Amino acid sequence: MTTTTFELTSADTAGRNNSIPGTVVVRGEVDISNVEDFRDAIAALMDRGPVVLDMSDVTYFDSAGFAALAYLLEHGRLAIVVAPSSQVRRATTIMNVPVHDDAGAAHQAIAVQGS
Amino acid sequence: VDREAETITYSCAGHPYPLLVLPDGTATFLDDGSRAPIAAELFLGAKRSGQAPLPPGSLIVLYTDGLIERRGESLDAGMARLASLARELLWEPVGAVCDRLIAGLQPASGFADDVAVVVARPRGVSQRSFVDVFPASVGELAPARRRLRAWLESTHADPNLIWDVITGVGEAVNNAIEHGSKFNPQRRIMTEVFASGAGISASVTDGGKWEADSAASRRVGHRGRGMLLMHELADEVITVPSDLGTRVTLRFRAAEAMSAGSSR
Repeated sequence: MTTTTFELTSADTAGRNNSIPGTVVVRGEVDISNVEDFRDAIAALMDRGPVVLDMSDVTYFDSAGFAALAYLLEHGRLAIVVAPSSQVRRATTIMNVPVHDDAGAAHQAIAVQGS
Repeated sequence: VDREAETITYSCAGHPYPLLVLPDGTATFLDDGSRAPIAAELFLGAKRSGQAPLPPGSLIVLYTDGLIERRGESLDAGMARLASLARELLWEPVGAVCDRLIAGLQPASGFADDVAVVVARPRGVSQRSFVDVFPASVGELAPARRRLRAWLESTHADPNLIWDVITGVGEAVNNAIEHGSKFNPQRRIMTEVFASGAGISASVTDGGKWEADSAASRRVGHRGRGMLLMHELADEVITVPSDLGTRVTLRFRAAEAMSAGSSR
């Protein structure tokens, strides 16, 4: 059976410490069937330090995913990247999720959060 | 009904002829399969059945004579009225077709006889329609999305519109699984999506009763978010509860789709 799947790619998490946020790219789909895995995976990364989460390439993201994001944003240091051209951008605007246009802006925001 | 061959085999035992509306708008009464009432068959023998095409995108209406009969009028006039109204309703969800046939054919003085109407359409896709039925289980979400996406892409709809429809329908299906079906995979969920010059209209029907906008449903985290997302992505969200289930219809881009080539 085909199920909902997402994939996380961490570009620079190896050897990072609390001052250097890891950038995590999420691809694929998040819905109520796999949202707990999504939330737990990001939460585990955030336990090791701040995270920049690039969501620009997700192909489906539902209200359960947005509830998880709200939880994660409260849970620790997280900045979300959604490119202005991304399909998911309109949904993040509707859901009032704070997003950054690119990783650079997100890293700056994390640095401000930490200071 | 033979889904592979896209045909229906029927026989009428005393009821009025079923009405078939094909995707091109042709309305035909299926009058080839009349036979004696089942109990009389023992004596009369001679089973008769007819066959007709039933491709995806078509609609079939079964009804009792109370729906078309009016005092002082020929049956033909009633049948013509039914056929003409059913053609107008071809691209509406089956539940709405039932409601509107009954409302539209009721004489001012009310029906003289009792009325039963069954409206059915085959699963599958046509150029203008997508009809899907699947168990109320979260494991069905991804495959159902994939089927819908494939059809939406075949209509050459704008990618932003495709995203909005898939996300909006996804939230309606979430509600149908959670509230309409209480996560019971024995229950079925039906999606009917229609494309036209006036945009995309998508209906999700479940077999349960629930209050779409109740305070209780807004209190729960992702549920309130789902309602917000659905209402903001669609131009219009209509929830119709009935004794048989709840139907949510989302309309997208009615105005925009009419001016071809426009983008958001």
